[in-house]
Amino acid sequence: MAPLTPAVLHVLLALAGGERHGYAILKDVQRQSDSQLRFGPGTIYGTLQRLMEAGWVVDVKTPADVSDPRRRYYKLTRAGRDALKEEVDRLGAVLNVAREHRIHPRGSKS
Amino acid sequence: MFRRALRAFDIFLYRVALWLCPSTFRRVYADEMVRDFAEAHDEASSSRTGAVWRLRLVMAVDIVRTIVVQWSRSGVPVIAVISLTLALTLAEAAARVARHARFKIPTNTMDAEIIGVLILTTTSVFVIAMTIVLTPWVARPAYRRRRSG
Repeated sequence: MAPLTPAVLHVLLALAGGERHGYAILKDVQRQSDSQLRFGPGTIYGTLQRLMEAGWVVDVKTPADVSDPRRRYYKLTRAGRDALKEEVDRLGAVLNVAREHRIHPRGSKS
Repeated sequence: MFRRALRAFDIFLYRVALWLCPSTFRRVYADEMVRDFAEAHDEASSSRTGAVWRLRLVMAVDIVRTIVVQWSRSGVPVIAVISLTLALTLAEAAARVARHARFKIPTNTMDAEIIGVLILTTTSVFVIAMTIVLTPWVARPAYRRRRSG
């Protein structure tokens, strides 16, 4: 599997935390990246469209207790979760190689 | 009052920009995108100065990128290239045949201009016809919304 694009990776990560609507995904991506990534709704929904076509994400019935029932909620499928795990493994391997070369992520103590 | 008018104007502009996206994408996501934009606008307005301008910049870049990506995903550029290649090949073949044909190519400027217009019209009609023929072949299957749970 080819490495995932930043948009795909962050959307999958946001949905790994449970069902979310588009704007919640957008806010989650900003939080994950410490506001380094500033995606707009176009990127988020374009990514969701591709992920739904790939069968990694599905839209679900809007929960009854939400403030805005017009919002559509999305959730990760098993295939999406597997793809995310695979990508995290790949990134973990990259990180291990970097550590072997004494290159550590900023802010890490090791 | 002024803030509210500005917010409404920004949302209007965003909605207009969304009309530049392919209809297949717009029909499914435009309403949600406008709602998200409005919510982001409200948040930016209530935070520090300059946040609204930063939001406008981010959204402008995002919408331009979305328009380009969605149109390229729609298959239209592929259809255009195939149609144009076929039309130009056909026009060149017709020109080769005409060179060996018995009829005389008019030397009169007026007639030559009419023939020029005819070739241009035929090529345009051919491009349109090929676009209609190729669209179902190139275009992706329509996105069917799946609802589960």
